[in-house]
Amino acid sequence: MDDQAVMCLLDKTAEKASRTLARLTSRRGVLSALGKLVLGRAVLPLLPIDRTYGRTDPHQTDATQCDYWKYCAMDGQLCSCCGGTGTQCPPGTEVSKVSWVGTCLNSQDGKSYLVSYSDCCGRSSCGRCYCSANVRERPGYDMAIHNDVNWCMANGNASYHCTVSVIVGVLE
Amino acid sequence: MRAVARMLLSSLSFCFVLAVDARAEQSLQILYTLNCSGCHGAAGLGVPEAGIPNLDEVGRYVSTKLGREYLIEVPGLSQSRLDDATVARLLNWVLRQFSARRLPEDFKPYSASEVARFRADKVSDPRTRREAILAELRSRGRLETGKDRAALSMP
Repeated sequence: MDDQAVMCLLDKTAEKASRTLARLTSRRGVLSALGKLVLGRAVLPLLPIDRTYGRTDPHQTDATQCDYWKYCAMDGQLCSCCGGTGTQCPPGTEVSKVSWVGTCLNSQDGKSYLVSYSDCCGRSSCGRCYCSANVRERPGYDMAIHNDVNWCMANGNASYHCTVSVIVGVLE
Repeated sequence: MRAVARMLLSSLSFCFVLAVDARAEQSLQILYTLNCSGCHGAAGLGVPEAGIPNLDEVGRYVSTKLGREYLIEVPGLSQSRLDDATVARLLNWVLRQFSARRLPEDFKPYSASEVARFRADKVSDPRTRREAILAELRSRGRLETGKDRAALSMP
């Protein structure tokens, strides 16, 4: 086979391939497929799909249980159990001036939220509904991310009553 | 058909790369909330009466050499788990966000190498170091005499 024959074969193959491609596809078809893809990508996250994919413990959606998703670094007694609510101190106590901020994954929407845990101060311990969860927390030798602390320490009356948790941001 | 598939595939992976980029770039606001706001508060006001300074004042420190180093050497930054580059970005953000009016006009942002250098120096007596810095600021007229000591304290 000489050079010319090889080139001829290449030519023919290339021609055949491009003709086949042109016959099987249309430029508008490509545009419409791409359009669908872009639109689909935008709409897909809006569909009401269960994003837990069966991994969620049913309790993660129950705010009265310690394994509620927002309590992932809760180390204290739930104020909702002590005359207050999940985010508000009971009467007769004041919210701590310093707090602990952690990150909890809400498996229902798949997003991580910044959660601030503040103590309610000024009355003796409530003594009910104690929860201890420690996501992103470290023992006392790493003080900056240690949550086993009485956050009432900066308040005038430093006695601890219970703990509230407030969402302060979301990680995108 | 294959060409179409290839195009679809490349546009898909493009979307994916965009999503990963956005996630990797955590905003400084989030870093502040996660690492600083527990004590200094969302608005940087601190609890001066309990020894947690109002960040409104920190800009004063960077106008002296010792003060500039001191802001890195305080335990909250020098002992944090953040890497040098992140500490530099976060501190620059805090200074501009909460203390812009106290910053000297010729303020040069902190760099990662500067953070690495100052961080290595563990201050054994922060209180004495701080007093020395405040005395220098006072003598240069950058601090009103009688300024509430608690407002400038750094534990």
